[in-house]
Amino acid sequence: MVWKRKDLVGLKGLSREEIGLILETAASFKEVLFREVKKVPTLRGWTIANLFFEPSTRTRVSFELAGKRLSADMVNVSASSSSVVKGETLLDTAKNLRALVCDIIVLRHSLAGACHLLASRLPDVGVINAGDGMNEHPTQALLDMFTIRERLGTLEGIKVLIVGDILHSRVARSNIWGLTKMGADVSVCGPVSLLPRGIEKVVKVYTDLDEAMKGKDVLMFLRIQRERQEAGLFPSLREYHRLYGLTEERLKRLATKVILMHPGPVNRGVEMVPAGVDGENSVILEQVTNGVAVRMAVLYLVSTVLRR
Amino acid sequence: MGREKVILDPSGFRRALESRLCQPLLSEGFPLSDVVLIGIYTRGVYLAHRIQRWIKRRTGMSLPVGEIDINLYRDDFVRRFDLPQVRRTNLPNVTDKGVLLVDDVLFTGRTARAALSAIIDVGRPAFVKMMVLVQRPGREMPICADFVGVEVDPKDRRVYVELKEVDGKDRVVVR
Repeated sequence: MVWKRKDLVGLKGLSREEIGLILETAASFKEVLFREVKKVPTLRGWTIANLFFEPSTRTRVSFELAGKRLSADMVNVSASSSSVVKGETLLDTAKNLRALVCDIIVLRHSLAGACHLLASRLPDVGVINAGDGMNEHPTQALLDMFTIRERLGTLEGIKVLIVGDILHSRVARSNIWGLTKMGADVSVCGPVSLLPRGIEKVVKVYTDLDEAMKGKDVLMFLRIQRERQEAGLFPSLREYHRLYGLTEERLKRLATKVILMHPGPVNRGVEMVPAGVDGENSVILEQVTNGVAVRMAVLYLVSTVLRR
Repeated sequence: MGREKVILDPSGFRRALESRLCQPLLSEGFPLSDVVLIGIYTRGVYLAHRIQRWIKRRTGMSLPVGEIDINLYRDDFVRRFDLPQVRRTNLPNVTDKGVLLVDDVLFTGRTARAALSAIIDVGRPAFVKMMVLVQRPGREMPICADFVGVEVDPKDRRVYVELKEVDGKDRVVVR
């Protein structure tokens, strides 16, 4: 299997083999993170720009470290401190980065499709999606899949339940595309007001969390955004927690082999009680570590195409 | 496929491996207790394990075996179209140890150069010696092997090392 894409726009368009290649490559890169000198010379002389139009710490730092572990030079551009506030368009900003001879642009943008736009308009620059609106967040889903596979040995037949605001979640979308392709059995659970229309055609849908949790291997809780409550999509955080959160009582009922995931940042006491976040079932911090290995793999694979 | 010439048949292969690679290790001046074997993916890894098993049978000593993938250290990225998958590098502690670096063929020396960089990134070995089953002319780097199974000069043709583990039988051919 040879990687042939200069961009990673989303998981929807990837084949099972391509996803498998990224995960295998990431497994090889993980070793580098635990060396005394955490660096390989693979991308020496390369320049990678983190172009972030939305706030992010985890994803930005993770890409930055991934690039640095591969010896690339990393530059961070955030919308609030760039010419974007002076009215420059996304494409112009990106063309300027290319004029500065950046080889790869990692883009986070609030508009779905922003990454696809850059990827198709910049034929000689690699573009990696770090989250585009409500569309996709492919590297998050890849690190989730990597973590599940590392913990449970496979993705085939694994029963994954994604809980929360599915409607607005690019993490959920990427995970549904990716996990389904890899043969996992994906279902979702959340208030009807936060489920996209037609989702039942793609995955199994639950509205009762206690019913949904039965027999699942992986429970993935999504971050709830407080604005959604202000928009009237659910009545209160307390009620949300009671109906769709990991409560103390639900935590007690959990089998020891079930793993708990969250893309972060966690609202403690809303999506999950602190005992769940910090408990034995939680792999939340492993997800963070694995994120660097997965992003190294993506940067590496994309670079092999750009070099040709 | 062109003409095929067998350089080592299975019994020749075995003799080259045992008498020219394994046996000389016992009479070298260094204590095997401070030595690690490191195989270069793919075939060097299998050969390193074979050498390890031979030494164990002979001396009872079980040398650590590491595996190295040199893809992250290549200098010829631009010209490679079929980049193979990056495999897991898994190195034992090399600091102050003697390292026996094992590969199937020594040709340009660029793979060995990359492997040296990778080894030096994880520690400071007491020495590194190179073991190859086949040596052929064509060096582009100042690198030579310390232990050689067989020397060939295939001119413009390629050398193929076949192993039981991968190809079903042990053989060296030129095509």
